[in-house]
Amino acid sequence: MNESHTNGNYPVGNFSSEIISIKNLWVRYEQELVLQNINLSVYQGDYIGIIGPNGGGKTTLFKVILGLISPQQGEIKILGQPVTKGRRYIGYVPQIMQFDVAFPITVADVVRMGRLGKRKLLQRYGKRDEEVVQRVLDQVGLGKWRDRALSELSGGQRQRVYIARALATEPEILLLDEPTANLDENVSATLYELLHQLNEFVTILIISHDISAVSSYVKSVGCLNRKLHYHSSNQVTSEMLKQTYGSTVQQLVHVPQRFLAEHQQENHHD
Amino acid sequence: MIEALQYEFFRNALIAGFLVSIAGGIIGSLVVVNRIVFVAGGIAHAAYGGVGMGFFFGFNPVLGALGFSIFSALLMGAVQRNKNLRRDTAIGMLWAIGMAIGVILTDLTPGYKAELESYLFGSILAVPTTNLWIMLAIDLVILVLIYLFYKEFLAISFDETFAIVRNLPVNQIYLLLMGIIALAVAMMMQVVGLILVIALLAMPAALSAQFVKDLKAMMALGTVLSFLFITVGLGISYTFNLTSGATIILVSAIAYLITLIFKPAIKFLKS
Repeated sequence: MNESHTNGNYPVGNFSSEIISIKNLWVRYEQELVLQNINLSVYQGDYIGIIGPNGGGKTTLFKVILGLISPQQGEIKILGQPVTKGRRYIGYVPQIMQFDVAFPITVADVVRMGRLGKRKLLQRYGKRDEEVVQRVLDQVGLGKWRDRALSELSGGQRQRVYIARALATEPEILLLDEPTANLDENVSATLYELLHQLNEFVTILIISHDISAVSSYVKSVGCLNRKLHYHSSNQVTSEMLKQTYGSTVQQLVHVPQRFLAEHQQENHHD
Repeated sequence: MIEALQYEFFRNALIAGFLVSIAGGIIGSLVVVNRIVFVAGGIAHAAYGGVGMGFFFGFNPVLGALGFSIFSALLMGAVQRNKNLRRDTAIGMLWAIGMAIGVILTDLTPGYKAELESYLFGSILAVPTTNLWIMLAIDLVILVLIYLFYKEFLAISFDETFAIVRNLPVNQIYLLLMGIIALAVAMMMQVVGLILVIALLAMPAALSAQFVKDLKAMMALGTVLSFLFITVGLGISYTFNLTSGATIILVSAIAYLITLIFKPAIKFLKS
């Protein structure tokens, strides 16, 4: 059976243009197969959560989409362009844990980096850049924090700063890598609420190992463990979980019952 | 110390200290936030190869150090970018090879070699006026490059992956940074010596980082602190007849320790 590729049937009716197209993607590190025959189409207006165990290839998938590593086989297009060109349409939000907390930098400085691709070397940031910086900071609710040092902010606020920076690139799609890692439940919930609002005008792709959080907010879920099982709904089926995590998963992770639908009939036929 | 100002050598020393502080505060900040103090140390030691060449071929050893440090900095930059190498090992090797070349070349140079020690431990009290002009020129080059590429240097220092995704020429910017570090290192060598360069690069900047909220301010405060430490160190070394480079480093170290101890108190008073 092959359920890794689905399209059509999208909840957001008016949108149809394809933002990211991944076809027959294979990635190996040395001998180890990390991604096997991945197919995924991300359409405008989508809000997709990719979940899966650590080491299941989530980060590798992101790196390939961002053009940081090149696949052995397969094709990725972003708005019809190869990744190294098309990635300028991506607003990338990395994990906050990888940053040096003591780095001396203000909130506005970080967000201004989102304007880098819009300004050439030797060209300084201008008035328009400052307007965008203020606008996106207001959007994430940090308008009054622009001149603060990043180190003064809490984890949730810092995550918002990186989302603002991604928005400052004026992206077609936001890519978020474990946006709620190390954040407590309330902070995570408000963050997902913010993403939900942003989804009204920007497509979103999230990777996370937090099944319950992701599946309660996103429009559709994919399960990735070397292979991708993707449904155009946010129903995580027990079969998807079994294939992704192995059969003992339900004892290990808490999945809200209402999102754990039985495997639906229409997903069977190919 | 005041009466010492009537001597030209002492005035030159203060001017040298000032010029070195500008490069040290700016480049030290970049070295510290990029966590490449070890690489800067490697460049400083490899530069000794250039000093040896200057002695052997009979040109200004400062220019030899300058050329050699730029060459080794670019090599180390390339090594740093190569994810397949054991980077710290490669840099340690370049560090030692550069020094070895310097030692062998001075062995092969006939004549009196007392001046050598001044490159190892610094000789701020013996900086000739020509070298002051070289230092001023290096400062200007550094200031112009930092002014022109500030947003790129900040971007690759803070989040290189994001800079790559924004299609910045990250490798070229990194090599440019390494080149500027080499300029600063070759210049600071004359004041504190190549062995102590990393301390003068790292300490004022690390200290300044605790009190500022952005990189520009870190550079500015780093420069001020560096000049302060050099001047105080110079005064003490003159008064007690101690080696100036080492005295400057210990003054910086004591200041750093004091802030480590009193910073919680300062923070408390601020709030």
